[in-house]
Amino acid sequence: MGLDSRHLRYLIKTRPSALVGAAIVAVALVLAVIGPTIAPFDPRTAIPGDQLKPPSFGHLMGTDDNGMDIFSRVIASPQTDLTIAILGTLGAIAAGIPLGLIAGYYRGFVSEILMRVSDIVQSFPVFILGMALVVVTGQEIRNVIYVVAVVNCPIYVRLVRGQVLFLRERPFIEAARALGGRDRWIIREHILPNAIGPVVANASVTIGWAILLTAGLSFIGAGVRVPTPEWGSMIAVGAKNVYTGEWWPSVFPGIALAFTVLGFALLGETMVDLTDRTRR
Amino acid sequence: MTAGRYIVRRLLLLVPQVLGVTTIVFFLNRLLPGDPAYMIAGSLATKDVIASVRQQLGLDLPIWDQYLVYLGRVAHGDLGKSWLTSSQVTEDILQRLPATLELITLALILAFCIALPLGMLTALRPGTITDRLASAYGMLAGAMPDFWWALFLVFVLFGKLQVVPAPIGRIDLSLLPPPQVTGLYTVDSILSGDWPTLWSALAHLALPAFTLAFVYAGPILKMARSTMSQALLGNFIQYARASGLPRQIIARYALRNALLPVITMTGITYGYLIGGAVLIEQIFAWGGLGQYAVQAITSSDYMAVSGVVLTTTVFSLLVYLTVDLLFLAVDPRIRY
Amino acid sequence: MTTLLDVRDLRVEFQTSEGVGSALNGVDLSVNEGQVLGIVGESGSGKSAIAMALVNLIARPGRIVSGSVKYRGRDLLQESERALQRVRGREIGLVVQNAKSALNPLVTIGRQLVNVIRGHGLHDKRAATERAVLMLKKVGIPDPETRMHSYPHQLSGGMAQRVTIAMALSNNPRLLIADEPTSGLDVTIQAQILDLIQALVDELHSATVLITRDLGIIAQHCEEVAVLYAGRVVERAPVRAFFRSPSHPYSETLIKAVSTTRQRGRKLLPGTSPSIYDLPSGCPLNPRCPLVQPICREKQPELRELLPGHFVRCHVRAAGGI
Repeated sequence: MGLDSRHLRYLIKTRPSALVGAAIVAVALVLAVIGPTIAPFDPRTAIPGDQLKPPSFGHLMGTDDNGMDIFSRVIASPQTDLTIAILGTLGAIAAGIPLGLIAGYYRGFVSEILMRVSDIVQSFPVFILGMALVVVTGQEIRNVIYVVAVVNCPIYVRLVRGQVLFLRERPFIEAARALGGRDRWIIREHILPNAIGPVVANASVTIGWAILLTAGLSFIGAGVRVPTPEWGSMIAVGAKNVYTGEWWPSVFPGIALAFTVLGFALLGETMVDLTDRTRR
Repeated sequence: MTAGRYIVRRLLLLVPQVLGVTTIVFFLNRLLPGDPAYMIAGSLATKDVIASVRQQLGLDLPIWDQYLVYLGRVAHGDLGKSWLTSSQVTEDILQRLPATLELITLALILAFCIALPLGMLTALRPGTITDRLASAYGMLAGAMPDFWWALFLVFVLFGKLQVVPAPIGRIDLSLLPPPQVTGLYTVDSILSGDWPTLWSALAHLALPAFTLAFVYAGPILKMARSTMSQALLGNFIQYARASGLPRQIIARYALRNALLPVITMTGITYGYLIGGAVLIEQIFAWGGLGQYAVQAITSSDYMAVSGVVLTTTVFSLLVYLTVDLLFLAVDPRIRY
Repeated sequence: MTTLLDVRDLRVEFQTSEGVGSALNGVDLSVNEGQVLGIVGESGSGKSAIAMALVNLIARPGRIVSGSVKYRGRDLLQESERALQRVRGREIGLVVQNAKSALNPLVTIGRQLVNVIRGHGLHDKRAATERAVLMLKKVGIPDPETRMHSYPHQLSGGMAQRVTIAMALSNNPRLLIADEPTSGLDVTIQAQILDLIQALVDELHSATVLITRDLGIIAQHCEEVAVLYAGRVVERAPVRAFFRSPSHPYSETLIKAVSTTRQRGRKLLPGTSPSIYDLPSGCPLNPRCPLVQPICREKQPELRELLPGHFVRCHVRAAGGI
């Protein structure tokens, strides 16, 4: 693919949104690492007597009805949310690539079965499947990661398979075969590097969705357990207060959530566009 | 292959799909924690009672037999009995399904009607203020969590401005639902001429449907705009311009080509919403399928869970089938 | 003979991630009524941009920087979109390479043809349909009434090209621009298509601009030829005079490359055409030219008339050198 400085400059000029996305993602990643440590208050400890304080200098985003400082919890959440989303996406990709390669390269019974199963998994309503799986396996962070991986795996199987189908007809693959290359070698050396592009590009978008899924599951009570700081569950905890006028426990995590997902989506969209065009 | 053969082939494909889903659901609910016999018998039951309940439920049979029994029951529409509500799961679902369907169908129609024209227009006039605003909306809406947006809107429109009714169900507490024909309050109240109920139903539908539409129109708008712009770059559009065709015809040419991915996206959204609307249902106390699912899952009501998963998945499959058939109607390259 | 099309100093640029590419660097052309002009060039010559530039349809990332394209006195580069719509498809018809991709895959060819006919005056649906069927018959499509309901993907390349020719000529244009109308087609089909075009424009007394990279086509079908190199016309002459005594060193090499007489060690120009992003200063041929003089690297030559009707853009040749 090769990006040199000239390409980057062109990119920056024509796509400022990509920069914004990259900046947001960078901030989120940084917070994921140091968030809990730089938080002014301990994100998991309730301070009795400090419930539902509105935003002020002491508590930048106020406190919730357990007395926990919202700002600290908001910046501590990326560690939870991003860990789940990124590891889950990596899992989906790690499983999706080999399955997609097999489904695309080898025609016949195995490939058909793979695709049918993948289709069926995809036809399950994502949210309900996610809920059921998490409750079945238990509400550990580890299980939420598995769920994210399972739910997104078919997308990557399909993506990689599509790439492989396209590539295997190309003359350079025929040439490699004619020169006597063994299948596994052809897949590894020639097909895999070319099929990777869209996978990497879509990863960012998937991470964004995964964050939303995690937040949604937690909101319903089927995701991360309280008191682990997580934007979705924070919104749930604050939901009842919205009706009585205390908006800050739900609004701030919501904004943080939307921004972060937006960042990943912007970055991902640009990457998808880029890899799409070079293919053309 | 001809259209007829394609349709038949596609319908036949449904059978193994439903079978596959049923199988997965069966094994899924085997994994749910909690012993259903114990739960149905009650916590004070003796071992013998539990054993006999287990026998009644057929849980003492080998797995393969249980599977076949399950398949047989499902084929007859018997999805078992919910231990939580003590009624047939099928009944429970049929009671709640219309609520969800009414909500998501209205939401989807709204979303489509916002997203498609907007996407078209902005693609035809790139770089204008409308275009930039619409693109920003498309990106933002897709990133926004629908449940948070719902809460926010409730706070503003109900809490502060009092423009919408309280988020407690599908109609005013003081009103009775209309006589059941379809289960859709809007349709039913029109059918029985009950205007106050119709008004109330619409008022209560407004915010949740609008919330869903607002959020899910985003990705559809993005898709519409992008496919429309792509279509406008096509060779045949250049040639159509070179042939001096007027702007309306050029737009129509491009739209035809841009429509297919948008239809797919809308279909996917619809399939997602039947389960995905649960968060909104929760916030608005909608009494739909989603809430039922949440209750069932958290209380290990395994018959209800499998019933819901099965129903929603079959719904998705039917939606995808419809999308495929629509493709057939629009794209001649598949037909001939 | 009235001048139908008068192009002066046409310049087109492309702005991409590679930088700014100069596709056309001051093209001067003219076409008289009923005349057949051939434009020949290789990759990088700018011929891919010319057809669209002539009808002011250069799309991003390209743009027309300067120059004028006067059709019957009116500069098309200054006209409104409305006015241009009346010219395109009506006064000026366009045929492109790869006809299948020029047709909307989701609309029947009959409908597309009828749209073009109705868009330019013949509003009545039935009359337009009749005319469409007539045009299809004229371009040699068998069973035209049934074919009206075909979709582009059901046609062969040659058939699709006939359809676009029908579209281009359906409103009796005064000028037909044919942009590599036969590339990608089998040789026998190529000949058929070209003969068809020739017959139809003769019948309509239309002028033609035939853009191609094939000198053979120029020899067979054109009255005048303009040679395009690095975005400029480097030689322009009546076809006979051109093949008998080409003047520009690039033209010579073009002709030599396709010469059918058996040759040993023929001397072609070394190297390749320059990239549009990196044009040499002075005359763009100077890195490859056997006649190169110091002035060639400094100043761009002007187009000079050597013999009546025979123009060449070369310092050396214009000064009478060999």
